[in-house]
Amino acid sequence: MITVKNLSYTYPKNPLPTVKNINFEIKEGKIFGFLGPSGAGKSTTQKILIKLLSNFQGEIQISGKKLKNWNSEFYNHIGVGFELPNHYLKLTALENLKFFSTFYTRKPESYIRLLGMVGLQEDANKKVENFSKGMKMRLNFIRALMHDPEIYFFDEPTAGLDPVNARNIKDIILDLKAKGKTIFVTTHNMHDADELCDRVAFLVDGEIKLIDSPHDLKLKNGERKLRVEYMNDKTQIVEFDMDGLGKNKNFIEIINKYKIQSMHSEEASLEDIFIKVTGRNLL
Amino acid sequence: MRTFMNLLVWDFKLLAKYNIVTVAIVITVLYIAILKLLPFDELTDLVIILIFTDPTAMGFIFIGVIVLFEKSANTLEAIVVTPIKSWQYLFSKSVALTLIALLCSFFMAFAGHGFQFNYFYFTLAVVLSSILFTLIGFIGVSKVKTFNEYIIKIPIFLSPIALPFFNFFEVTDSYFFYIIPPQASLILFNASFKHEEPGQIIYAILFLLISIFITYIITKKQYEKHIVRQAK
Repeated sequence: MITVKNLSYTYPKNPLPTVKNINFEIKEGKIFGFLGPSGAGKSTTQKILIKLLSNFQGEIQISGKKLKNWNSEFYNHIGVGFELPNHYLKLTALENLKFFSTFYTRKPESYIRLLGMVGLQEDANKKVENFSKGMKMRLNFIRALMHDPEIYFFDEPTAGLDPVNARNIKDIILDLKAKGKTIFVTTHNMHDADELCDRVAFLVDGEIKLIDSPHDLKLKNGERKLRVEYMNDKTQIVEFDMDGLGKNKNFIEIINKYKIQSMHSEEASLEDIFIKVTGRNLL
Repeated sequence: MRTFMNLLVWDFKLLAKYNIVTVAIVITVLYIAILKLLPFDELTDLVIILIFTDPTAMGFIFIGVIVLFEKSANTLEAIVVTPIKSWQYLFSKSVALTLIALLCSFFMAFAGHGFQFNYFYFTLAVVLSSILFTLIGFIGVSKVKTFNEYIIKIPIFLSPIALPFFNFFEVTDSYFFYIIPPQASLILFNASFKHEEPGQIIYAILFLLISIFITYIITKKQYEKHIVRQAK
């Protein structure tokens, strides 16, 4: 569990704070998404949470203990998945995992099974310098998992991955959530955030503008309309108010009389809501 | 301690994989070739100077190369979020390079001088000098990003190494050099092959130990400020 209260941080030599009075909480078994454009303060917040930056104002509790009171043992309890590959290129995938596992108290039961989770078991003994970017990213990802921590920090977990591998990584993250792990995800990818996160925070200029669940956000910000596409000689599109839909004679006539091609509620996308709330684009 | 020993084994593997061990062997062979080809009967002074540069200058350069490899591959950002402690990271690399320097130095001494010398003082000279200069190397490399930037820093950090040679070759007889660590290293190397006053030897050992302690404090601060915090 992570609790952040009134967190502010100013870099030395900077006149203004990079993170301003942030508050949030992530319970066990929940995925929290941190969304914001570059320079919004996402990385700074993550650096503070993983104890790479100190001298912050406010209070942070991780697994029931003040962050300031954790020593290097802290890193046995967290797993960090980075946005860019960071491996010893002259070592094999297996050697990289074994090297990093020397630091941790808990070792993986089987390195090969771990590599197999992301389809790298056949490449265990290949030097990482011969890996594609996607393979390196998958190796990054499982390295964060191998000491079975309780808390995870994933930075753009599907960046650089093809759709099949991105799907697999998202499934593993959802599996971790089901096991009761606490997960903090930083991403630009609204589809990932929508699919993975129980709650998302919109961060702009170091401030959280909004925290809510993607589902509620879409309901609150979407138009209560249904868009129907049907075939009547040629494709026709028509919109209906969702209120009183069951008694709408026109709607009932169309679904009874014509071949329906598609039917969608006009909910807003997370990206639309982000722009509406913050006045900023995500990139 | 078990983590440290495991890390030390991995640092040896990394030194081998990144060809640092190969370069160290090639340099040792070159030094031995120089010693064998020189047409002098008395080589002890030359042996001392060549061996002296191995744990000092080479230690400084090698540690820079290793850290720059790690910076360029971003591995440091992954290392700093593991339970590894600063001293484990710093000393594991320092000890690994020191053990290689010790082996190379003994081969050079056997080849250039023979087997009759004081192994205890020699080991102390290599170990203390190497640990000190690898720690200084960490300070030199902490703020740089490329090897070119590091090359510019090498003379700034390493030129003091040459200063005690003025005393060694009796060009000067200044006590000023006693406040810089290379003087202490040179005294210990000299004591390995020639007679040295006990007072000089005690000064050399104590001065190197104190220098290592002070350098370690500075290195740790630099590592935590410039390497850990800049890692991501």
